[in-house]
Amino acid sequence: MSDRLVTLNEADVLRELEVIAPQVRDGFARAGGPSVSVLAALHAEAARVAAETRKSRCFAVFRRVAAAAVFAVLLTGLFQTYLRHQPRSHSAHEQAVTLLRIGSAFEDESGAICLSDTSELAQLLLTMQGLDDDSYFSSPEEMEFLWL
Amino acid sequence: MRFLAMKPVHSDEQASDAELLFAYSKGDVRSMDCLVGRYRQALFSWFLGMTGSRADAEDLFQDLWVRVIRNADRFKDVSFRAWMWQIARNLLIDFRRKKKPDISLDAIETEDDHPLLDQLVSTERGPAENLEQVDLARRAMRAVGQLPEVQREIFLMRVQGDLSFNEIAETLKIPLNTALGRMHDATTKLRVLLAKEMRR
Repeated sequence: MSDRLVTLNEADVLRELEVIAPQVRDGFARAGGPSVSVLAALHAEAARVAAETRKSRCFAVFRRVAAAAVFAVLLTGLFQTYLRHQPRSHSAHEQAVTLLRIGSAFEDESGAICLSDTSELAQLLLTMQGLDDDSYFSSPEEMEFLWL
Repeated sequence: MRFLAMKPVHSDEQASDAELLFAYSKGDVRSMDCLVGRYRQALFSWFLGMTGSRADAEDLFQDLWVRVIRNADRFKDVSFRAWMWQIARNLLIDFRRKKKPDISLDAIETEDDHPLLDQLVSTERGPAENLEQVDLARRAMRAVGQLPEVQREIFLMRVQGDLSFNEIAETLKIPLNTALGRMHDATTKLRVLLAKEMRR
């Protein structure tokens, strides 16, 4: 019915309206707006929804913080478990002690592995190299070389 | 997103609809009061004109704002007016489906004791009230009630809701020219109806 082919000018339609619109507006204005009870009910609903939103927003923040804390605890636990299952890394000191023990080990008559005092081992090593513990150098040639 | 750049505002007459809605979504209830007040008369008159019953208009008006209030935080970057009128129209369609269509203002023609028209008289107070104006308003409303629904809908959206023809076309999902055509038809018919009313 209204889907016409003639293109209507908006300004013309508005001009037509100018005569009638004030009377209609006046009529509806006299009919009044919604009652006070409706507006009060809407205000109450708006306040209720706003309070609910505020509460749920606070709870959401709390939930996020709690979730972050739980995550951090879990992560720490996992890291600790990981570290516990890792093979122990030896410190330099521990490595030195081990090497020393290996060096000072010897077989007795029965073939059992025994550990000797490390000072004995040191003495043995010096002797093997032709060095003396007291004078440090055992051969005069070597001493001479150093004197020069 | 536009809302991210918005700052909460207090219920200010100068604030835009979107700003007021944003402020409400941040907890400022006065912003919603301001928004309701801004569209109170336009929407209520539209519902009143479309249903012909004050009680139904109040129910629809309340339902509309309850929807707006509950979905305020879901309102996205669109025109609030268009969104609101779209809700209003959907509510009216639902209302029409549930109720018989004999409650519109069309019925006023043969019912002089219609509650809506009584309301016009009952709201008048004081002896200085111009009875002639009241009568004129009454006749104008009666004439509007006799318009076909598709014409009345557009006519009231423009006259009461102050919507542009583009907004009307968008809300009703019709071409602009169709909206203009229906308005032209409504105005022409209304002029005849008003003349008829004046001769009564």
